[in-house]
Amino acid sequence: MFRSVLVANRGEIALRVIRTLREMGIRSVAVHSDADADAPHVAAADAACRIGPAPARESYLDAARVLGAARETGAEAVHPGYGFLSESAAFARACAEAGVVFIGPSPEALEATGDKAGARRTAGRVGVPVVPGRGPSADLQDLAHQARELPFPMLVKAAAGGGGKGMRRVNAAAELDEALRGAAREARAAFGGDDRLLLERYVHPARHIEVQVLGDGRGGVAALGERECSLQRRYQKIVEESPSSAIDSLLRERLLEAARRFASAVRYSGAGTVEFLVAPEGTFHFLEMNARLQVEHPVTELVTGLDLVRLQLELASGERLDLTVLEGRSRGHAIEARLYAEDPQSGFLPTCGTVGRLRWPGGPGVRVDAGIEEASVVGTDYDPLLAKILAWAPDREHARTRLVRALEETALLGFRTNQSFLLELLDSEAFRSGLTFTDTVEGAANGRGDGDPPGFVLAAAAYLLGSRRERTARDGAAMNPREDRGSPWTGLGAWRLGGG
Amino acid sequence: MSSGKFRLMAGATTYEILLARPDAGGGVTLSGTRQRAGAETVEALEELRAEIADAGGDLRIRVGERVHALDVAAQGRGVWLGWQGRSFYVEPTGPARFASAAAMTSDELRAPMTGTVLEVRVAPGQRVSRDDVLAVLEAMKMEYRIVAPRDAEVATVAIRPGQRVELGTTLIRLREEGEKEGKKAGKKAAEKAGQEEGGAEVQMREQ
Repeated sequence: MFRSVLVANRGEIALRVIRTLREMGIRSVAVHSDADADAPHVAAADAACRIGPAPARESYLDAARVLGAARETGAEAVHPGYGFLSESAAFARACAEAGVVFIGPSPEALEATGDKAGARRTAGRVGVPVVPGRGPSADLQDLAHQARELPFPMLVKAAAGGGGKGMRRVNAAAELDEALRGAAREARAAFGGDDRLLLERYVHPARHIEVQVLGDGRGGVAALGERECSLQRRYQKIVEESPSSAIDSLLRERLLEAARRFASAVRYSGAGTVEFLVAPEGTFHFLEMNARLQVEHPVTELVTGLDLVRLQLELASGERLDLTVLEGRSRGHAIEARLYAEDPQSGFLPTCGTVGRLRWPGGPGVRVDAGIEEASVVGTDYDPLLAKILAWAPDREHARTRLVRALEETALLGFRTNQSFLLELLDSEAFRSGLTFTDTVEGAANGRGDGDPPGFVLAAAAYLLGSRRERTARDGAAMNPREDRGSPWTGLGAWRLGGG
Repeated sequence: MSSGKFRLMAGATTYEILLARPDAGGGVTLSGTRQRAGAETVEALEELRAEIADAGGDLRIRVGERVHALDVAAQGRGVWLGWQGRSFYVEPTGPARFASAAAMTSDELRAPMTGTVLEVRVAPGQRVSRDDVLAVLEAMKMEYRIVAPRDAEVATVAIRPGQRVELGTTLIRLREEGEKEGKKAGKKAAEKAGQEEGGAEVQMREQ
């Protein structure tokens, strides 16, 4: 096993990986940009190394700087997390050349899965059904021409894509031109200049169901069960769960087998996810394979009891694992809700600010993977994901009410988040009944928000603002929010509960 | 102490609140009114008696037999209060402030987030129709279209492609077709703002 591992990421996933490294007695090395010098993942690691200024291109996405940090700190392996360099075949190659182990699949497997067009061909070759489509091409006129062979609505996708970037739904011919130009521009910015696009039939209504796999790099693959991720907005997942209530054991086994076949065909090693679209009548199509740990991997960890990061490390260090014994372990039900820095009442636009108050939930069956703490500054340099809050329980309805309870225990103050929207979703008839499709959330332009503050909240606000007004008048000084935590709102001491 | 009159704003609703401390035994009473953005009517708030206690920077507030835990964080002029997974930002406000917020939603199109201007599709003097895309912003590799809330004429364009804009920066000003900018236009726009409450923002949000 490695003695020292560099975590080439930030936020909640960096902390997640560092936790497992600590449990295994492996020295952890964090890297950080200038914007993250005080970030929690930096303080959690055994060593920390600055790799550049705030923009990701000059820090977390800069392979040379990350490898320089590995050399400098004596790290034997790099865990890329998700996003950033995690699916870069060039980075995986550079690691190998530098004598550092890349914790993930081989460069060849990354190329085979990263190229969406190539992945579609591979799927077709091993008998896994794919969504009808055209492309790839960087020639917008050519694409517009090929689009005539597909019915509307259709999807425009970046061939190098992921995370919804460079993806557009086109409902009618009149929208095609602008969608192609916009998608190409987004793809260029997000994928290092690669603006090749694909056209795909838009399958709807459909469920997004994905299979967690582990490969040994020699064709051996374990399928660790599925995750249902149909609740999405702008192709960003919001709520994920396992098992899916939409499939029976027969369809589940067919999906698992399709995932094994695809991952085996690309000689996959480590943890990965094969994504499918499943139509109500039970037909399914291969979407893509994500060659990395997924954001929502804790859902699978909760139902299987496995530590996927630990398994990644064991596989990457060359341990021979009997993967077959890892299958069929799912028990109970797990649901994850993603807390984002975005305003559900303003079209989910990104928000930013300083975390003034933070309280995480506790109690039975609750897990929180967060990348922030009190006084953390959330900017727009990186992904707006703040935390993942999960609940496990013996059955789905129990897990749902447990997650609602956990979200009600959660307080994050300082800027708007999607917390109220998560509660709204978990309470919705669609979610309660399990009838969720990829366009269930897309229809709602805005969330309901937090509603009117109850009277006692207004009383408290007036009380606090009144105390401040008096103190400002008395001391002639403006308040510093950072000083508020200790002995704030002076004058409250005289008030006691039950004193009246 | 801390009794008095307050004019507060939470979301787009303004509150006139009277907080009184009726006796030395503890507790406050709250009474007042609520007026929603753009609404003529003023609703009375239900009168409330509560006891407030400090809890290490947060608050405990007793209403009847129930003790609520409120999480607290000061920010700017106002304060955030968190309760049962909901959060509210409450700030002191005045009539002038409210009027400008309403005008903003109709006449001035502002940056809905910090980002970069990708495209500007209009020029001053140009006529635009409701739902026309006027400009495109980019933040976090996603694009956001700034859309006309109504038929109008572009008065001023304050941005150019490639420019970085902060949240709330005025991007484009609209005016009634054929009108010159001035007191009269401003007044008319303000009247219209009342009828078309939130127009521009809602349009932007639907992208």
